[in-house]
Amino acid sequence: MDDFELELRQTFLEEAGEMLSNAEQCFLDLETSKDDPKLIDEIFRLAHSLKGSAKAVGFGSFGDFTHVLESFLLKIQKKEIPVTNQGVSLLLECNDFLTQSVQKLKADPAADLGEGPLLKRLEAVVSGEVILSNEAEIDESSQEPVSEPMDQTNVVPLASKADKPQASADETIRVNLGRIDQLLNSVGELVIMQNVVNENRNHVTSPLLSKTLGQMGKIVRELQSLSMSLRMLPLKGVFQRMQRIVRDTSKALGKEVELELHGEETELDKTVIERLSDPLVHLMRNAVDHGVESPEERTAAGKNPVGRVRLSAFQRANQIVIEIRDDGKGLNKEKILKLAQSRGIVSEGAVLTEDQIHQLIFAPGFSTKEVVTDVSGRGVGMDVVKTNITDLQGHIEIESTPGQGSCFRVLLPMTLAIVDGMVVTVDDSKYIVPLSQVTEFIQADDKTFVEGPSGGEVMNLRGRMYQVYALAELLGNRGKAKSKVRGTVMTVVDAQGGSFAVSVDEVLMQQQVVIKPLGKEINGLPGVVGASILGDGKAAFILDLSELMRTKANSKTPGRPRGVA
Amino acid sequence: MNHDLKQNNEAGEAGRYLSFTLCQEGYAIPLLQVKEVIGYSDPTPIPHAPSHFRGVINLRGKVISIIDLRSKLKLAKAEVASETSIVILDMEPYSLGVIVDSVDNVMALGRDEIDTSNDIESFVKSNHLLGIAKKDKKLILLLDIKSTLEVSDLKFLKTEAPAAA
Repeated sequence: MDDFELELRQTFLEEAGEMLSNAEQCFLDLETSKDDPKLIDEIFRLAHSLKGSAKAVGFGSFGDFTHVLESFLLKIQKKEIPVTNQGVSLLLECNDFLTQSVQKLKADPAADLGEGPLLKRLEAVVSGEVILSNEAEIDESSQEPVSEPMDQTNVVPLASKADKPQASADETIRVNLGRIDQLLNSVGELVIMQNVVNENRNHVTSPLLSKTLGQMGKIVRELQSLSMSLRMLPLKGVFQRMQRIVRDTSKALGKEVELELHGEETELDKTVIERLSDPLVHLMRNAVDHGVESPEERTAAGKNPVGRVRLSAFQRANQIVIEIRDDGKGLNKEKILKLAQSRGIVSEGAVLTEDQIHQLIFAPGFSTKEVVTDVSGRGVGMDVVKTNITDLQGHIEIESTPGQGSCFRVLLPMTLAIVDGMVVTVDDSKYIVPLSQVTEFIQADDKTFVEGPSGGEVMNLRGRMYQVYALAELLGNRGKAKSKVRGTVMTVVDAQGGSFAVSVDEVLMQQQVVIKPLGKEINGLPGVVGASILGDGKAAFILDLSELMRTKANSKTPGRPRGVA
Repeated sequence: MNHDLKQNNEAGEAGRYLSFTLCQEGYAIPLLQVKEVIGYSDPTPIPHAPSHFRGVINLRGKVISIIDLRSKLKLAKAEVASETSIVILDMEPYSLGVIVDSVDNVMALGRDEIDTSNDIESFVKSNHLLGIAKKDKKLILLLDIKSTLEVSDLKFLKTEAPAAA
């Protein structure tokens, strides 16, 4: 057994302990609300993933036991066995047994779990030999072999009982995410207050007070970064999963792939990490399946038959970059373009840049592999990857050299709780535009705007034409919209469907803003990501310029296809 | 107690009400639907929102949507004055506040002081009224704030927003 497997087992045992304590709560809840289908589903899910993971890491008997437990739960779920007090007791017994087993396996991976007696009882219940009733516990003993309690005690040697509290002693505590968010909220308020104090520092005459205020400001900033870090987790867990994915995928395809991991300690917001896992799995599979060639092809091309995939993460400015780089055959531009044309994703004869062609693989309904494999699926995935990443306020870039490999680069904000924004004004209202949407800010003058061929205004920037939209118009500020456009500053935005420009009255400053959730009554407003409180204590909306533009375009020319170009 | 609250909210039941003024007329809503009253501060306008949606404000770090009650009830527009207030409502999951001309007081109304008969004539649609109360020779309209700010109306964003663009 290599280190990798050992680590997998370790991770499994950690997770199993957590799942079991969740399951215990569920069982207890089940006792009071016996026919809550949600609860039963939850328990079933826990048991199912426990079984799967246990078998995957090679804990056979643990997995087998969970399998029987799962069939028991399945019968409960299908209402073939009613939930009774005795049933819950049995479930709790199983839970205790599994918890103890986890402790034993931690100490010795080859430990004999002694699951025999309990397993037999469980099997008897599943097969319907023993019917569990709602009677009190006394009744149970008559149904069980007398030797049972004896066996139970044999299963748990005293030593392992004594071990238990020690093993659970950890240097971490689990805190409800809601409480952390509350803390973040309060700290955010504090920061705003601090800004107000700072702006009025010159009114403070007492030197002592002034000094104290300065120190307080420092502490507030410290407090802010500290509380932000509470939501941050290392990427390690996700990266470990990727190891597994690469291993399984390459084996299934008969390829040899070596995975290199870098920067697993890079930290990201918990929510981002959770939602990052799926797209990453897809990109990894894609790299192994579509990127790396078969050993024969590789040898023929004079490459090392063992392919290399490098997964790395690092921080660049305020973004986290995750790179998936393979040394495979690279993207075939001609093939992509041809396929996209045959699928009607781009029109015949369209002239696209290299990057635009690469981005085509994210278009819905695209798959470059002629044969659909069960590994990378049928090409429904890549557009989902793109959507997932976009939902996380991220971007995905592709670099590819034919014959040398491709690199998929995912750029993500460090947290979804804070956004790096530019405060802009339109008609005397302030709005926040996330910096990630903007590629350039340009001071505009009269010569900047030209009448466009298809109406509206366009702008020529270094030979490239951009359609210009006034933010006021995009926001639906009717009437006073046009008046101020001329004297404005331009922001050029890289949208999903290409680039365009948006004019605003003024760009005030760059600021990190805490994203506040919106009430249900306005949540989902097109083009609005959220709101934030600015330094002056006023609420301001955080905008999604691409969405605003699309909403506008759609309302103008209904039914216009959203081209990828 | 919870049971009592419900009754108080649903019909023109006895209980405590917060009274306020709109266009010189007296209105009141059940006190239990009121979270707090704050002074007026200019809301940030919401893109593509209907005109009675005045915008959002920052209430101690929370973003609250503000509705102009005059505009919602189709009453005449008014300038903001020193008395103008915002009543923050308790209407989970919505975070809403309404603008009123002035907040007057909290009053206890007995069952016999409230007339719930349907033939009330006023500017306000009768289905938005819980009843009418007579206090100190003044008529006070008891507003059903939940029905006034109908939920379907709040969810304007899916239908109205693209059309307004």
